[in-house]
Amino acid sequence: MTPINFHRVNALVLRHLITWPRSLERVADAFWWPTMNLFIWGLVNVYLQQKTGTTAFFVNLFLGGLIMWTLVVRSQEEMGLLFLQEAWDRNLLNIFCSPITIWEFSIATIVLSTIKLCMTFFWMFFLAALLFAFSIFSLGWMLLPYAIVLMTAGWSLGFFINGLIMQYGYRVQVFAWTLTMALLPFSSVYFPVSALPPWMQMVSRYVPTSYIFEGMRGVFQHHVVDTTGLAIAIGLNIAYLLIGIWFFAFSFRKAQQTGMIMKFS
Amino acid sequence: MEVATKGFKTSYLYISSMKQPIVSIHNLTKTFGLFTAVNDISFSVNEGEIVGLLGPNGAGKTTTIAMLMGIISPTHGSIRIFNKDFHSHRSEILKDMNYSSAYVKAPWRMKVWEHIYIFALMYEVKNPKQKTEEMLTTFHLTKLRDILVGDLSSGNMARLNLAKAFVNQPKLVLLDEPTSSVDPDIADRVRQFIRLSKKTYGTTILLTSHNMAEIEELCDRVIFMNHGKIIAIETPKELAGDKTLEEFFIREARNDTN
Repeated sequence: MTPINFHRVNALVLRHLITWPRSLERVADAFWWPTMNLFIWGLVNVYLQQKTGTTAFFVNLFLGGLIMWTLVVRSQEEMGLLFLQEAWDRNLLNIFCSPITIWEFSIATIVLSTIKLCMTFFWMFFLAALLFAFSIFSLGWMLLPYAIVLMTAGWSLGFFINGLIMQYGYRVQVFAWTLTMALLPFSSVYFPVSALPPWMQMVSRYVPTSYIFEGMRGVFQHHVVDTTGLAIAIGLNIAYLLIGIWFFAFSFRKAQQTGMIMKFS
Repeated sequence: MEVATKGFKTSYLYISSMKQPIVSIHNLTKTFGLFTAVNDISFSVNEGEIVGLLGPNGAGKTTTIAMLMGIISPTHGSIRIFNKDFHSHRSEILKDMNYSSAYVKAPWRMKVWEHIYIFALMYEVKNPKQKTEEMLTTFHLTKLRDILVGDLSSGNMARLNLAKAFVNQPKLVLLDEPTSSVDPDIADRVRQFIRLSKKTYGTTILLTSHNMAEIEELCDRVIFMNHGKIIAIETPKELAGDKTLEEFFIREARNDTN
C-alpha cells in the first residue's frame, strides 16, 4: 500500500473548503435543516411541558437525541455528498487520474465531514442553549466517547454508501440522503429499545448507535453510566468500520473493472 | 498569435538522442461482460514522442487511455510506464503524468486560478502559487483568473483543462481530443503549446483527435485502432500513403461498415 501523502489530502480538503461557502445547498445542509429540526422539536417540548406538565427529562430526551443523531447523519451525509459533489462537477476523472489514492481521498472526506460536523454541532449547541436552556454538556465526560462513537458510525455508513454509489452510479445516489434514516428506529433515538417490537429489538442489538442513545437516557434519567453498553458499541463500531472500509475498497476495484468512474465524467 | 513561454526553463531542454520507451503496453485486453473494448494490443511510446491514437468511435481509444491512468483495470496484459509496472507503482507514476479531455469539467464554483492551484498542490508542485501564475500566463488565462469556472466559455474551459494538465510539468501527458469544441484560433494555440512543450521539456504526448490535419501536423507516429485492435502503427505520411490521413480514416471506417 502506498504511504498516505497528507499534501494531497490537504489539497482536496482545501478544494472543498473553498467552494463550500459558495454552495448555498451545502450551507443549508449544515445549518438550515438542523436549525429547523431543533426549533420544531424544541417548540414541541415547550408545548408538552406547558400542557402535560412533563419534566425537563423530556427536553433532554428529545433535544439531546436530536443533537446526537445529527452527529450520525451529518458525518455520513458529508462523506457521501463530497464524493457526489466531485461526480456532479465532472471532476472525478481529474481527481482519480492524479496521484491521489483512494485512501487519501477517503481521509479527506473524513476530515471535511469532521470539520463541518463540528460546526453544525456547536451551532446546534449554541441554539439549544439560547432558545431552550438545554445543554448537551449535561452528559458530562461521557459526551466525548458518545460523540466519537456516533461520528464513526456515520463514517461506517458513509464508506458503505459511497461504495454502493461507486459500484452502481447515480441511480443509487439517493442513498446518500436516505439510507441512514432506516437506522433511526433501530437506534432508539427518541424512545427506549424496550418500546420496539421484539424483532426490532433483536436487530437493534447489532446497531451500535442504540447502545449510545440508551446510555444517554441512563445518564439523563438516573445519572448512571452504562460502560458495558459503551464497550459493545465501540466493538460493533470497529467491526462495521472495518467492513465499511473493505466494502469501499472492493467497490473501487469493481468500479475500475466496470469503468464506472469514466461514466461519472 | 504566439503562445506565451514564461516559466519554461532551458535546463529542461529536450535532447532528442535520449529516446527510450516511456510507455510499454503488452497484450492489453479489456472486456466488459461479452463485449471486448480493447483486444490484445501492444505498443510503446518513446520519450519525447507525440503519438496519435486514432480510430472511429468505439474503437477502444478512450478505454486504452483510461487503462493508462488506472481508471479502468485491464482484463489481461501489462502496462509499464517510466519502466515501472503501473499496477504496483500507480501513485508514483501518476505524479509525472497528467491528463486533459474536452469532456472533463472542473468544479464550477471554483475560480480559474484556484482550480489550477489545487492541482498544483495535489501534484506536489514546488512553489504552487508561482506555477499557477505561470500557467495562467502561458494559457492566456490571466484576465480570467478570478472568474468562476462555471462562467467560462468552452474554449476557455479547454485552456483551463490544458493548464491543469501541464501544471506539474509532466513527463507524459494524455490528451483526449484537446481541441474539440474550441475555435480555430484557440486550437492553433493549443497545438503551438503542445509542440513547444515537446521541444522545451521533452514531454511525451499521447493524444486522440478526430481532426486529421491536426494529427498530421503534430504526431510523430499514429496508432490506428478499430474494434479494439491495432490496425496500423506508422508515421502519418506512411499511414496515409498517397492520400490524406482523412481519406485513409474514411476508407478504413467505411470498409468496416460495408
